[in-house]
Amino acid sequence: MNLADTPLLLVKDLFFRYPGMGTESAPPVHDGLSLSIPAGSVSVLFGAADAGKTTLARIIAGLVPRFSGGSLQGALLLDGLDIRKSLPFELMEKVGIVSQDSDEQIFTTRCDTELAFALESLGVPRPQIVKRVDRCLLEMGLSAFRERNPSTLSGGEKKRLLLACLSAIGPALWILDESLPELDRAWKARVLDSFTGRGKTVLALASRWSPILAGKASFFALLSQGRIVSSAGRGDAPDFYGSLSRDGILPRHEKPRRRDTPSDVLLKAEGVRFRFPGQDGFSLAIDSLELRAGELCALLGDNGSGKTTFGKILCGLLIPYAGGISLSTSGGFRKAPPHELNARVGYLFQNPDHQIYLPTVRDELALGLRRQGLDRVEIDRKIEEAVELFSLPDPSSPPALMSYGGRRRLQAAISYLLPREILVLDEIDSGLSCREVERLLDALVPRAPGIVFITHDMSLAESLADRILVMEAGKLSRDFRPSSSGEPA
Amino acid sequence: MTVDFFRPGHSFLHRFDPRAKLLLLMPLFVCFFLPGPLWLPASYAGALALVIAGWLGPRELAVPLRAIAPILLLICLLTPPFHLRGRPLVRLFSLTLLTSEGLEETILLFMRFTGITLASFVVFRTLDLNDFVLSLRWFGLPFSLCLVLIVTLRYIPSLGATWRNVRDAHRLRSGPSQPKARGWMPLFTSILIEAIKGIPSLAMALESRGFGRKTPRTSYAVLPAANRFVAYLVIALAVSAVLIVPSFLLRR
Repeated sequence: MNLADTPLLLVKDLFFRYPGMGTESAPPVHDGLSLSIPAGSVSVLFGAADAGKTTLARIIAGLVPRFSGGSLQGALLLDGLDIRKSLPFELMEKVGIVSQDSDEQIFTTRCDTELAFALESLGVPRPQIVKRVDRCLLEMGLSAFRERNPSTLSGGEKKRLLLACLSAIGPALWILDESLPELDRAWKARVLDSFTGRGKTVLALASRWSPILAGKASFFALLSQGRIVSSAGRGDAPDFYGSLSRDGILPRHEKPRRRDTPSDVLLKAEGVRFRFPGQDGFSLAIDSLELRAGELCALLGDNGSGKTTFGKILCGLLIPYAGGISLSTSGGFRKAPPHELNARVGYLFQNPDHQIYLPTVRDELALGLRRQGLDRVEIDRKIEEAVELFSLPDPSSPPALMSYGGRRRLQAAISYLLPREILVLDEIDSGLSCREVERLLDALVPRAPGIVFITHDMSLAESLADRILVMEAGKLSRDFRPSSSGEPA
Repeated sequence: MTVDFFRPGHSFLHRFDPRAKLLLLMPLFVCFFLPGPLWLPASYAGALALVIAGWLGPRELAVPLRAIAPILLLICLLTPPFHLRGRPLVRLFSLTLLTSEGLEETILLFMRFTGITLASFVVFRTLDLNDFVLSLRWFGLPFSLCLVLIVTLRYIPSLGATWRNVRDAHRLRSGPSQPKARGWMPLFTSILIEAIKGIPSLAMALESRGFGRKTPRTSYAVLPAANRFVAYLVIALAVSAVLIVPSFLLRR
């Protein structure tokens, strides 16, 4: 490992284990993990979902085991301070995290007060707070949202708000836990430029390769099986690149298995117009779009461009005030009412906890099958098939205790067992490695005739999709096939 | 999407000092319970309706009235049978349905409930949450309690949004034909899981932003200057007098 002379963060022989359930002890998350982050560097720590990246970030910020319990051993020094002896509020000027789930970190009702909270805690005089809040909101392009409730922002805007919060405090070490994938390309570049330009020390945690991140970072490491298994000064160093490939961090450049070649039109969106009540500014206008059977579409766009809104319109969760979605019927195309869209177009929510709620994996998988009127033997057979296909734990396992990656796979397995003509997968790649996304799509593509997956990752879209749709400010701005770069679909 | 009660604006009511506004809420409530002729609470409620329609717009007046309409209907249906003294006004064969006392009591309860709702609406529709919390701190409430209030007010709408998300997710999976009574349980379970999982996350977020430090806190948001408070307090006292005094002058 490339150890700098003056590391800002030094982790040596870290061992951590969460408390077990009942008499069973949990397997260790980290075992013998050593890492050194030089001051003023941008470092990337790659790892598949469940590799322990978030836990490591929380340990460094003093949040784990304080709020989770568990057994922690090893040395952790941040700017010379022993992390194990410090409380989170004592470390706030040393380290700050932007977490994967923005909603975990936002707790006030206005963007400016969200930024000001930490500065008030530090006892910063009001005139300085005002200046810093103004500067940081401007930096992150959020000046117009100053008085807005953060819960009404899009995913990427929330991430920018949390980055602005960190910028206001200015900690010595910034930890970005899967924070960049949710930003659009322009903001990713802008944020990374601001880090390198000001000599900030950044540790970015990522489950997938990102060329833009790789171009800015100066130290790369791969976390696997609880320890750093490989590291390099360049992301494309042959040995390191090989390790990333083995761990599924890199895309495989091979399309998922398809059942059909693109053929019949399944769905038509015509003259769709939508606006959220009471919200000025954003409006969605899709003049015409056709989705075909056997087609794997990627839907990309900047933060707040309307991807999720359009996805929800496709499955009937949001109702446009003009135009609508037509589905094919025996008598041709007919505008479908919301309940028909609900039944024929599936939607995988970004947050698995919104879709998973029953006591066991079996209950979750069986619910949809029972409603299809299948008998017990058939239900058991299908559950067995889904468990194997999606690498799920024993069907009697409680989903609430499964890892994030496991819950994502269960969510996909539930969709797999529901007969839907089209599936909309909202940020299915969020927090998952390329291999995990590919596995899910491999399983879902032969099942649903049409799939639309929403993502911010153009390289993932290019490697997997047959067709790429790009949205800009509520409109479809591009529609092309990736192999022919820019050729209209 | 969040259900936020406050609507930003620049009306006189929005400019009214938040501390004076909160103080004014007390006489606004009390005046509906003071003895006096029946037309007095009716005229207070009417005046509040005019204030809302005039300063915030007629559409805004419909918001609280629509929300309490079912309760008002229940008041109209359930009050008369419990007040059967006085002159019978409506009879069905030998059964008295409405008496003069029943009618008076119904109108009184109707006006009290409508008046209190309109008073709360007019204050909280024009009171920013931050100003509300700052006012409470100004009145001496400790910061930790104010923070509890902020977090609660942040999370109630948040849970509302989660509820809608979870309901949508379940609708897509189970279809609209799911029996209603059975359909609520999974929704509650999901919300409960979300809420419980949110507790340590919230604690982490608060401590990461310095909650728990011994350093004296400063404040980003500030209340209007003291002289402005005094000016609005005088207005609030004058309004209070107009609300309270007539009830003593016109006591039956």
